Amino acid sequence: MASTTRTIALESQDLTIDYIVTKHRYTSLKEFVLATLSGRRVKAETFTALKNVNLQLHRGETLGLIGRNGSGKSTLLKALADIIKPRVGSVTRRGTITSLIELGAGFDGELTAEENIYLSCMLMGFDRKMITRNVDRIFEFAELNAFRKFPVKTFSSGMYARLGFACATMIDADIILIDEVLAVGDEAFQLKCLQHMQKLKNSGRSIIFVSHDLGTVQTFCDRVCVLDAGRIMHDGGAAEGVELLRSLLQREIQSPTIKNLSSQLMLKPHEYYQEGENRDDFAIEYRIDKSLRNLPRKFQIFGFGQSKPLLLIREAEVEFLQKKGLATLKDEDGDLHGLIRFPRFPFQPGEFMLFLTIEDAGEELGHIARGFRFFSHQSEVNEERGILDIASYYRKAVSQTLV
Amino acid sequence: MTSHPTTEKQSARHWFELVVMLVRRDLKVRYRGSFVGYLWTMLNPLILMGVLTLVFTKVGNQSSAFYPLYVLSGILCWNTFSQSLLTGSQSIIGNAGLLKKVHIPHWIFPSVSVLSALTNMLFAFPPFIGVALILGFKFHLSLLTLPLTLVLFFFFLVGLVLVVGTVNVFFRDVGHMLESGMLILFYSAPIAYPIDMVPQKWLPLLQMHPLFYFLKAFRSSLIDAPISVQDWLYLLLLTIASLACGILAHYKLRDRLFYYL
Repeated sequence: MASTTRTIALESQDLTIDYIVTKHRYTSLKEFVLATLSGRRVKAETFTALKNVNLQLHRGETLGLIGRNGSGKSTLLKALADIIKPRVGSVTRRGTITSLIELGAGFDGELTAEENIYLSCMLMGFDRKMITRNVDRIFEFAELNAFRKFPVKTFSSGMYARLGFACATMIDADIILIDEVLAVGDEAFQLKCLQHMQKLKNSGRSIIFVSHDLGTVQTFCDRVCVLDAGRIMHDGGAAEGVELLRSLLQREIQSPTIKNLSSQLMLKPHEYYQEGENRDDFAIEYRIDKSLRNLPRKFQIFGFGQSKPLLLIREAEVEFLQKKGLATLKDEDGDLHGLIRFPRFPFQPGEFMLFLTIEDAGEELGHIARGFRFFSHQSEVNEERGILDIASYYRKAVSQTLV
Repeated sequence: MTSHPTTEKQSARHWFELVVMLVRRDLKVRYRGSFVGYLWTMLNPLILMGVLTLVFTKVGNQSSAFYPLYVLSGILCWNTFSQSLLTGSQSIIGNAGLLKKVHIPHWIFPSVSVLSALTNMLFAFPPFIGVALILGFKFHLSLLTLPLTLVLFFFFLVGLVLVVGTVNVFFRDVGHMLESGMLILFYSAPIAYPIDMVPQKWLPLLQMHPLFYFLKAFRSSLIDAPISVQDWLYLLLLTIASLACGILAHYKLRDRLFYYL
């Protein structure tokens, strides 16, 4: 496609966005200072939401942005709208730009409908005079003329959404970015919204439109980009893009990866540890089948406990233990073989279960469990201590990795 | 094209309008439909004034006739300071939902906190005048310096709150530490006790209190003789330093803020 900079309204170059995983960063000054002083600061874990995205929006073009949940659509839109500042890559905008990420952003339940229109529209970038000129039209569009002076907390969710979209009809700029907002309201209202968008499209605005409504995308957009796991998989014809995403979604439904978990996962106390033998240290051995390793965002979690996991060790923490020399990971024909050593068993002697859980984005895909008994030299249970007994050596090595 | 929405270089005027709008929202939500809310803003400093005056005249042997005005002016200044910092430190986190969805600069919210606090201060001036009338106090010409003091105070607070509000995004316990810190700052400030009651050797320490010169300036405007040119210079320096820190924190950290919200 021949295109000079003149015809390009919006462009991203090698846009990469990494989010910081909240669980693994220091959220308090106290923790941060303590970790820094003791030299135990671990680098925050990141999640790559967008990877080297090069996107061009041509003048007067309507581009549909589609993809599975969590594929990075909203992140991309926010980066294009200058809400997120990318640390790698850049965005070039030529002309005025406005974005609609959420309907009724900034609405305050205590304020009246009219006050909220002013507030919300000002947050979208309009000045007072401009809003004053349009406020009657907004109420007409929302069909809420009788409720001007009512606090929006008294509104039904439908009225609220109508007011939100009516504000959004103010939206006008050379470049318009719209995130999944048409999903609200009844069909008649949706049609009205779509007509409004069509009007913007016909008047030559450049539009990026994020939606899960593939039918609308196909008819409304000149071009479609399919995002998957933060990368552009398709950039071109609308019909082909929609087709590609449909096939992706189809594949996800019939995911063949979890078939027989007991053959795909293995977990047991390490063999040097003879059951019944008295010792303080302990090790577990596990294997994760290659079919599971290729899941897009899988996590593995190890648990110890009596009937449910009491002590959890997550994937990131295994990596940390590996750095400390307490875990070894080996690749055998694509399968992952791991060994985790515990200088001291963290529980009092007794019967235990070992758990290995596989999660995908917080959702458990499956787990296996195995029972075992642990004895130690000090075989007697210390009644005063409860079942968890973290020795100081162990605490030093692992404590900051425990959840 | 008829409208001019968010452009790359958004006019300062627009952001100013937005700040005013958000302050008005704060005040409306606070006082909506209740005269009692407004009454409370006026009454609260008066009660504190009453208690402190009672303690310091009966126990502390303070006998000046206008002593209540001294205390009240201190309280007004303090309340604005503490309200700005306490609400301001949470202002960026508190508006995270908005900052994640709308293209607006982060400094808007700390500024709104400070401006709301200053507006509440203005609401508390009528009771101050009331007390002055009752005590038969006549205002000096130095009252004319009040607007200047308020302007400096505003920028001083904006700088401070910008730092605290921004840092609080990264370290969420800063706000809590601030609450404890405020207690120390309150009792160490010359709010209820006169400065000349303080032993000479402690004075340099007292002068390091962030509110020392502002308390002096407010009192000079409201009840005292004018302060010296040197004091004005200190105030100006303090304001510039605070604002510079705020702007620095803002520019250094604004690109990273989103990732921590």
